[in-house]
Amino acid sequence: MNNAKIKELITSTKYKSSRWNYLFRVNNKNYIYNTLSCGFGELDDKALVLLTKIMQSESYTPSEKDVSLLTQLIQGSIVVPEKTDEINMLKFLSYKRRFSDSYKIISLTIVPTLDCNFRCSYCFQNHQQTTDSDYMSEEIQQAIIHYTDLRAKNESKRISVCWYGGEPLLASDIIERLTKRFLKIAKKYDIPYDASMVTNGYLLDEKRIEMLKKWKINDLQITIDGPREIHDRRRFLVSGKPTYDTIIQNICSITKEKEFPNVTLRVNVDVTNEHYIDDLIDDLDRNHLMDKLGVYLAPVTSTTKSCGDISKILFSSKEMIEKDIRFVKTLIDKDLVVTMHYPKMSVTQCMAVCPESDLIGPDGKLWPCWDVIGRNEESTGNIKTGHVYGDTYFKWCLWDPFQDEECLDCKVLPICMGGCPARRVPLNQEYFTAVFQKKCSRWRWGMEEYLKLIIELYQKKMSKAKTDEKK
Amino acid sequence: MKWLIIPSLFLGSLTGYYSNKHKEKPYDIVGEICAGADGFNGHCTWYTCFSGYTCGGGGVEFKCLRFGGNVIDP
Repeated sequence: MNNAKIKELITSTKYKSSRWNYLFRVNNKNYIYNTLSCGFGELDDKALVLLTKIMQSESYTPSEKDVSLLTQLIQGSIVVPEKTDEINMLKFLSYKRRFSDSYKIISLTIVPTLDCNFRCSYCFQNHQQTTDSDYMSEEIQQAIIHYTDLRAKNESKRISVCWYGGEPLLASDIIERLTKRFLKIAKKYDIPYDASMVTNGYLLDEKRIEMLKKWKINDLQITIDGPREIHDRRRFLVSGKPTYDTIIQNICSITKEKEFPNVTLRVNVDVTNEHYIDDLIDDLDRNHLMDKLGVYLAPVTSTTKSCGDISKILFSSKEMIEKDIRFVKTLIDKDLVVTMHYPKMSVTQCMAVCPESDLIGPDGKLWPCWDVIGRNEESTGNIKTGHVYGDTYFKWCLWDPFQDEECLDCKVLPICMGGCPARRVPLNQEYFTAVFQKKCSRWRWGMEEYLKLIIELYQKKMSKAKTDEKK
Repeated sequence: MKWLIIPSLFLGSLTGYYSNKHKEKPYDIVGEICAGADGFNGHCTWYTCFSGYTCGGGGVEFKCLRFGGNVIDP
């Protein structure tokens, strides 16, 4: 379409402002962020005047001189044609992504064992005496391979596996065998294979670091709960022995490798360890790790009876965004690399409501969500026989935030999509404690403050670029 | 008007932002998008999710911004 036609099209349409805009001022400058497009921009005076006019009018007819600015506002979904039904547009995108089989990605979370070498004070998995049946049998492994082969044959575009546990590295032999078979399938159908792993990091010695390469692990997530004395009080071995020094040493070894996977440190926080996070950051920095890792805070949550009554020490989502902001500010103050999650549209929420993703337990049971592993009443089937298309399966995969009036009125809906399904879907037995029953995500409570941090980082980056240029 | 983060071209493609980034850089970008803290795909709130609630599913990868260095392209 040529420029004249675009101009004609724009000026012949009436516009309104999007329901999903955040407009705010920082240091006498105006900024706009839209939760659907996730565009984030600085508005100059002209753009602000035009946007204000559109906001004041439910149906704005643009003139020719508006076209250039209006094009940018339209591109960011900050302004939309008057007749646009934004809720239904989002609904359409969500349903299309969730239920279309055109994406053809085989996304598997595999739990080769629920056994764990740790006994974390807040763990949701109920560890008792370990037996052989806690490890995935050859029969289940074969069933997974058969299932993957069938799906790969059907024009799949990628195989993506996440190893989860228990502690998956306790089942290295199973991971080794399954990876070899996955790679064969990937080669047979000429599709890429990638993998990630959630591990406590304790067993990542040099031998296993070499194995990570063979297993094509691109992403590793390791949990550290604070500096040594705090972490060791919370995350210890079955024997009660400490784990911090070994984990840090292992992470240092991984990052010394020429090509190491992306390593993310998850720092679980609650009332009892939040004041020690700065000490952890200092320690990671002393070990020259801060520029090699992504570090982020995650709330400890109570998900099962085995969590015990820990609700008094948990943070709500509103409190968590405050912790996040403070955490990022600390990194900025210390002039360290900052890893931030940019608030981005999520049309699928997560695998729990996405029929094409599978979570397979060591006994072959299929689960909709990581949070309900081990709860037999929430299992949706078995890898050997497939899903049982009954109430449990459908209550997860058909759960719909568009049925919730409060969500429809909320500006962060395109990003949070109704929140964690595990906190929304009615469970067959109720476990969650009061704090995390609350459905809303952190974004609802601290979006503007968070976006202001991005501006601060942007300005810092620009200022540094100017200084470097002068040099 | 100046974009700090380019809007996703979501109507054309949910991953439009990323492909756009690689083709051209018409705007200043605060930080590069990298497969970092939330780079796991297909997974839930418990382990990977910053917001506590937004997470990948069915192969959708959520990315984070990293400022300062060690930028990893998606």
